[in-house]
Amino acid sequence: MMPKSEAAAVVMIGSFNPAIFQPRWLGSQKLIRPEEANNATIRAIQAEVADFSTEWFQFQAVQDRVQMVSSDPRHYPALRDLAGSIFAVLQHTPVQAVGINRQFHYQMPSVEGWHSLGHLLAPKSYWEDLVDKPGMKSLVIVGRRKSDSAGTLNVQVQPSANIEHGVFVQVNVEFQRTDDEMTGAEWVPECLAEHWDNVMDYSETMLEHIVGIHES
Amino acid sequence: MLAFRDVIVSPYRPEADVLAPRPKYEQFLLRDHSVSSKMAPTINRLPRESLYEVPLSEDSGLVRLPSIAESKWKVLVLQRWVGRVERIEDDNFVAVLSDATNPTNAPEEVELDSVEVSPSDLPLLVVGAIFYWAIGYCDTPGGQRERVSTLRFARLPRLSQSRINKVFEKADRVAALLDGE
Amino acid sequence: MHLGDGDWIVVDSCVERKTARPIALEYLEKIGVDVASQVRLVIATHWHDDHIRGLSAVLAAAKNAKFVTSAAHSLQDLTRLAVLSGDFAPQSSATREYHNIIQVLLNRRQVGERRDSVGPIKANANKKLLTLSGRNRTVDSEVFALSPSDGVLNLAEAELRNALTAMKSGRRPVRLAPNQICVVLWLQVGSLNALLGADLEHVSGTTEGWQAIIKSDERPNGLAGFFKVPHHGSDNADCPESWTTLMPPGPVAIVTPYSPSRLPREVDIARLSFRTDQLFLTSDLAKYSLPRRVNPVEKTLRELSVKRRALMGQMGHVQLRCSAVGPDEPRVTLTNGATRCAVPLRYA
Repeated sequence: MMPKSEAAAVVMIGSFNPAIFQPRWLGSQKLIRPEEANNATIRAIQAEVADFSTEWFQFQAVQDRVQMVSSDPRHYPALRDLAGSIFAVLQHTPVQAVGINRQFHYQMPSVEGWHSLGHLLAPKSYWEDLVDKPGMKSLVIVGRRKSDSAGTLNVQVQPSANIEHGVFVQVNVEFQRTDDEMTGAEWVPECLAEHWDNVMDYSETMLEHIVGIHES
Repeated sequence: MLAFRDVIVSPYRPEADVLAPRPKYEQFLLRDHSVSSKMAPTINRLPRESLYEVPLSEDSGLVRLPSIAESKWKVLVLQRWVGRVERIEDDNFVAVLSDATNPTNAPEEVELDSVEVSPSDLPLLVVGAIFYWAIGYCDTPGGQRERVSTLRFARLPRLSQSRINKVFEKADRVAALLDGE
Repeated sequence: MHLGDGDWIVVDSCVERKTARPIALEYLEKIGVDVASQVRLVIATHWHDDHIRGLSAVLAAAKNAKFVTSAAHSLQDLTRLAVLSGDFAPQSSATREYHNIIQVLLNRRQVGERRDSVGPIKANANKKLLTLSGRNRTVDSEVFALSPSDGVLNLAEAELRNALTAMKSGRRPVRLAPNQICVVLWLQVGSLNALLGADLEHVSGTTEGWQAIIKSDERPNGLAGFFKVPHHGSDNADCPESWTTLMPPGPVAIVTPYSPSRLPREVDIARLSFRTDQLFLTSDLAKYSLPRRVNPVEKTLRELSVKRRALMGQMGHVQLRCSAVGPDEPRVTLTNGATRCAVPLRYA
């Protein structure tokens, strides 16, 4: 079951100084290769915003949010390590929450399958009395993973904006800082080390489950 | 929801912009990434009316950073391993691989040529080091499919002494509890 | 090991690859043992990956069991390593298992259990770990530790410190403890004795290794008719005097291979075959096969000329059953590729 495209991301909510997050700083800390640091594409490095990308990840930061994204599955473990490493160095940075995300754009095998998936997730019969031509635009399910109850789960399903008759599935698991003794980012590397693999595997299982629904 | 999405920054205040010359930032501000433009690359945009997108007004002065751009390179991974270096010989190294694609497969011992390691990863090639190895296909922006083998040494979070001290305090409390009656 | 009257102990652990469950749990459940009530001891002879994978799951299931570990490990150092591993998970299964074992023990202590009913119980030379006797029993049993000797009690510290250093800098520790600190066990079940050699090595001095056991005045009397050959049959763990002092001629001996070190070698099998004609191997290294992957992956591996070797094969099983109350030949059942060594094996 191969998606047409995919990406993974780490998002952190806290209090940040975006100007710190420069490719050169990452290189000096040996968190990325020197070549990656020197050849990064920088779109902005300001007091309020940092935005740059390398061959395999994109980085955006504002004062209350940092996100790092990769659409190269070869480098997902490195993305986890990079996020953990950054906040191992910046251990005093206040981070309140961490989100681990994976998203897929999947080409449904047929138009009929695409329609039937939408019908199953959001049955039209409930709406047809009052709505002309109802269609599912987006569905978000919240809960907890059965495999690991830590973190709050959000699963988002909607028609793909990239592929005709495709499905977009995004799995997001949010972890809140729970230890009042840890006021900084010390908990971030541990959280990522503990939960990353499970969220990645769970996301694949969720994609298979969702796109397989129309066949059941 | 901490999904990744366009990042919204606070209103631009020129007097606060001390780090960059204004002309550059104004140029940046002029980029148009409005929702109504052509099909947005890959962050799958939720409808404006949804709970998850902050509505923008034309004169709010809010700046929307460029969308996370979809990579033009498409990678399909067929097999992933996590490796641990066991010993280093003259021009090769021996590692134990755990199958990350199918964890029920037995671990394997492999001998790899050191020339397969990226030059800037060579300082990381030490006994006990962890690396990630993936084999698959890469479709280039020009549509060329290439078979790829990518080996990258892990740059794992390093623990600060203060963090280690806290961990050890916690561990010593645990040990005292277990050792006590 | 069955100690009679439905009481069991579990020594070390490995996991079945396909189910990821400890082999001991799968076996005990298959033969109808209630692990929660019938397992009395869970013993970690030493902290090497190939001896403790899955042990925390065994301990969690064996709710009435005490946990035993080598006295040579400082609880403080081990706990520091375990907590560090648990928090940062550098994928070392040994430290991860110990972290999980700590959690199980903490949970039991927090509901009010005392240390002497939960553990960790520290095993050192000639310490009695368990006595089962009484009018209600058909057979009396005892479990002793024969090692580590006093001479090695501080050997573990240096390697644990090295492991901590490796983990601090993001590397996975290669070894957690030298073989000399492992727990060798002596089991007396009625008229039967069994000697479980762990990975204890043979050195020239008399204060450690097999010589320390042989020379000890305090070890239990008797000869062991069953022997778990130490350190995967390697010659550095072979003590000729142990075969003549601790065992009768021709005991039942079992060797568990260790593929990373290619043990036992042909010469080890030949040597052991001279000591007993009842030599069993839990699996044949020559039959470990690599998994077949999709063609592009196999092609890439060939093009890169990658030399590969499987480190694990089918999990073989040697089952010995024998009456403890009278003369009885042991009944041996071999499954999943376990073999009796009649001739030296050839390796690929």
